[in-house]
Amino acid sequence: MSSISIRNLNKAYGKARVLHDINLEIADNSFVVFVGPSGCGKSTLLRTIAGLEDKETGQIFLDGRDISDEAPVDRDVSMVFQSYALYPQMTVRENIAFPLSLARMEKGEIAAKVKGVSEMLHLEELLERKPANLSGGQRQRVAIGRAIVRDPKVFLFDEPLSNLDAELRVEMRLQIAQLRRNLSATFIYVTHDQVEAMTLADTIVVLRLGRIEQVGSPMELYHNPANTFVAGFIGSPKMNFIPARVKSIDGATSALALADNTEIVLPGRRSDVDQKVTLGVRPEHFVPADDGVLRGVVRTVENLGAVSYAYAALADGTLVTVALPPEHGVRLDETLPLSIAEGRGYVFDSDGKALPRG
Amino acid sequence: MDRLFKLSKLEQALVQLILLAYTCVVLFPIGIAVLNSLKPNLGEVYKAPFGLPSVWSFNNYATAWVGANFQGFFVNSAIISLACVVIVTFCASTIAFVLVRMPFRGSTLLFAAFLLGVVIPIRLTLAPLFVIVKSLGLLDSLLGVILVQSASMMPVAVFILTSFLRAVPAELEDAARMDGALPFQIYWRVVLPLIRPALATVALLTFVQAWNEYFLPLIFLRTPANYPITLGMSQFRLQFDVQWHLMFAGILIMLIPTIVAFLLASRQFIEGLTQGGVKE
Amino acid sequence: MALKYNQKANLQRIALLAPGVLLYGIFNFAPLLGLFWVSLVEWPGIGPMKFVGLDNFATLFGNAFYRDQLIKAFANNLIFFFIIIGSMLILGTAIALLLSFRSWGRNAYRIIFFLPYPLAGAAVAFLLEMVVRTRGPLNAMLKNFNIIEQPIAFLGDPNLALATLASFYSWHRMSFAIILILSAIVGVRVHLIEAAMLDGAKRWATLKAVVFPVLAPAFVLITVIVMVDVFNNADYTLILMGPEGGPVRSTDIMGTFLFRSAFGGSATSTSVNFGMAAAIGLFTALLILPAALFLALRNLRRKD
Repeated sequence: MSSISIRNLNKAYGKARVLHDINLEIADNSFVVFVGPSGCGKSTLLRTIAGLEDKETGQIFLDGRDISDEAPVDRDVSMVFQSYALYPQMTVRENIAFPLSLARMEKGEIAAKVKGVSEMLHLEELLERKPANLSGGQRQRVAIGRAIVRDPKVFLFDEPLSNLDAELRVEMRLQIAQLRRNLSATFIYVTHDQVEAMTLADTIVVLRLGRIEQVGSPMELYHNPANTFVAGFIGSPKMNFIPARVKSIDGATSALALADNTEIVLPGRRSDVDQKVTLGVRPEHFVPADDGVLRGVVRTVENLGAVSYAYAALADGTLVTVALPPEHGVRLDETLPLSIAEGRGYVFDSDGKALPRG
Repeated sequence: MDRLFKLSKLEQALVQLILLAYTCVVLFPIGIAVLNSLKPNLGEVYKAPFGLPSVWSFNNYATAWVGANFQGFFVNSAIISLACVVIVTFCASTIAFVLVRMPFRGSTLLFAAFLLGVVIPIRLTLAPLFVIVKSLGLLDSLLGVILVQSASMMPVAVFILTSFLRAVPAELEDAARMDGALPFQIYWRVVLPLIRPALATVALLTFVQAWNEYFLPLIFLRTPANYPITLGMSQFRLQFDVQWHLMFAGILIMLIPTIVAFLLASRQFIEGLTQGGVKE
Repeated sequence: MALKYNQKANLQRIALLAPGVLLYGIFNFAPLLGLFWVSLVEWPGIGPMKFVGLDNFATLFGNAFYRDQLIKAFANNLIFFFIIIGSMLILGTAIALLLSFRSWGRNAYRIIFFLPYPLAGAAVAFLLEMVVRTRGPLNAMLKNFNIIEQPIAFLGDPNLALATLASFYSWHRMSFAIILILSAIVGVRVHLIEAAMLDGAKRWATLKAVVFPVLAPAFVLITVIVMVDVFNNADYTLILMGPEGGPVRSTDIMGTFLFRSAFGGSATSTSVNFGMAAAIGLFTALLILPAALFLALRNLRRKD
């Protein structure tokens, strides 16, 4: 059992507050990704869970046990670092065996465990090499091996793929997903790359400036973002944000007026009349339709092969991104009429908070 | 950049003149010493100080070595210097490690205390220092000199090592911590290899300063048998003062190890100066 | 005894600190603090210590015999300092400049010029003393070139001895200034020089505008370091002239004065009193405190 419970965690570096009252429950054996822009505190939170950093106030429980004041090695967690952190003067075998030899494990047992891990990660050929003679991907596997060999309850990953090139990153991502299936433990993974987050996670924790913005499954965050920050962070390309005003509410629908008085009707009672709101539409949810209410003048078109993106300016000047199929036929300076896919218009109040959709 | 610093032929000639002139100033004493140390007798030194020796008397060095009992002094110097290097590199590195990676409530104060030692030289505190050494029964002992000299070099060493370690990322040490390594193991297996360049600098600076130290041994040593080479020179001088050729030989015996070491590691020496740049 | 990691780590931290802290504390830091205490006693080095309060200071500043020595030593020290710093800054800058140009053989020169630096002070003192003796090579050379008639008693003449010792110091340590100034010159950002040249400035003007301002911090650093060294250490004087600072105290500086008050000079000189030595040490420390603080602050800032 390796569930984690974080209660009221606070941390500051001198005067700067880095973590504000973090409360988080992580389910047993789940794969949780901490994601957010730089400086949001995701690495700090991870390192605090690891025990590399001290918390200021609050508690951390692993499996019901209070590990808040324990040293990292006593917490039954292990960590994979961004720059692999392999001991340069030791061979791969010695690197992987190191935590076990520190724990004074019996030599035969160590050898067996190292063998098991190196087979799992296909490192058998590399055991006698030193880190300097390994490629980036190989080093990362060794780092993972060193983390696995201790059989911890929790695996912590601190941006492990950031130092790899794009192609390798995809490959390693698949390997980590595979690893997850083979091992029974909780995974906590930090990244700034939302693609990694979306593909690997059971649960995503979005952080900003030391606070949790939203916790949920990838699809949940995609379909029901809690605020403009999460909406803009998850999903690529970014969601379009268009300033608007609530014109009228009629029963189960609301009418929004854009800056040029274009009216859009959306289901749901959205705030009060005359309130300033933000309309959010993902590029893939704009539908070119002859009777579309929104009209954008196409400024740029990018053709990527499988999909194309048109950047169009609305009447009030807001530039929106529209995803188009490859055979779109849209030309520059053309006025593109758009409508919003069914149920895909998000409305956020003036503080950025999502308003309920019907 | 190059165009600013390039020289025309005339300028080059002028520059060479000046630089050669200063070279003469620098090499004159050493050159004279070498030249005259090889003369067979005093008379030749007087008659023709700039002339070549009639007989190349390398045995002057042997005479000086034996006559002045250099062997004993050499050994003492070596013992003191090597002991200082070992003590200082070990103690300063452990302190730097704790101050940078395991800070505690008094760390800044402790660092400031060391920094104070950098700026206030130990010579000033001669009187109380003597009191302490005497009361510990360490007067006239090599151990006493070793401890005092090591202590005097700690501040600069701590400073150099903390500066260096601060610039090294702590990730490898974090990994070791996660693996369960205790501080001493982290220090020994992870940190020491990482700070090798700075350790080399500290070792070099400490060795040179310990080897060249005159004042502290003067204060704390009484028996000539304990003298390092710097004090031994004074003895030698009393004996052989008038015999210039032997004196020069003796001085060169003292200088040659340092010169050789310097020529072998000149870059390290010069870099060490700018790094330790605070103390001589 | 199964200690948890954190407990073991704390114990190890203490163990790691202990040797260095004890060594430094007992043999370097404690004496520093002890200056205050020892300056309040009268003690000839053996026998009992007698507490005399501020008597040592009173004698130092009040008693004409001591005060005169103090003033003379301090004045000499100042002269000593100015000769050294003058030669180092002027000659040092000149040579550093020449070495910064694409002078032929500049790397070799740099090594040669640095040669005196790592040599032992004692050896340098003996060597240079022999060179400047009345029957020595320097006088011989001057006579050969008909620059002088009679040999000059560089160290024997009370008017010349101090300056001679100062030049010994400079010979020994000049490269320190050269290297520091050279790094400052070389460290000037290429862009600044290129900008100046694009603006049409000739070499000298460029040097004046861009390079010389950079020298100021190097000069300050050199001055401070030399000041701290020169007012505390008196190696050359002690080795060559003895604690009396002869001839007739012309080479007496603070370092020799201190040494003399603790260990005595010749038979006819001041009585020995460690307390007095401590008082002198304290006085000198306070004098150079501003310079010392500057160094410390600069280092603290550099560490950040």
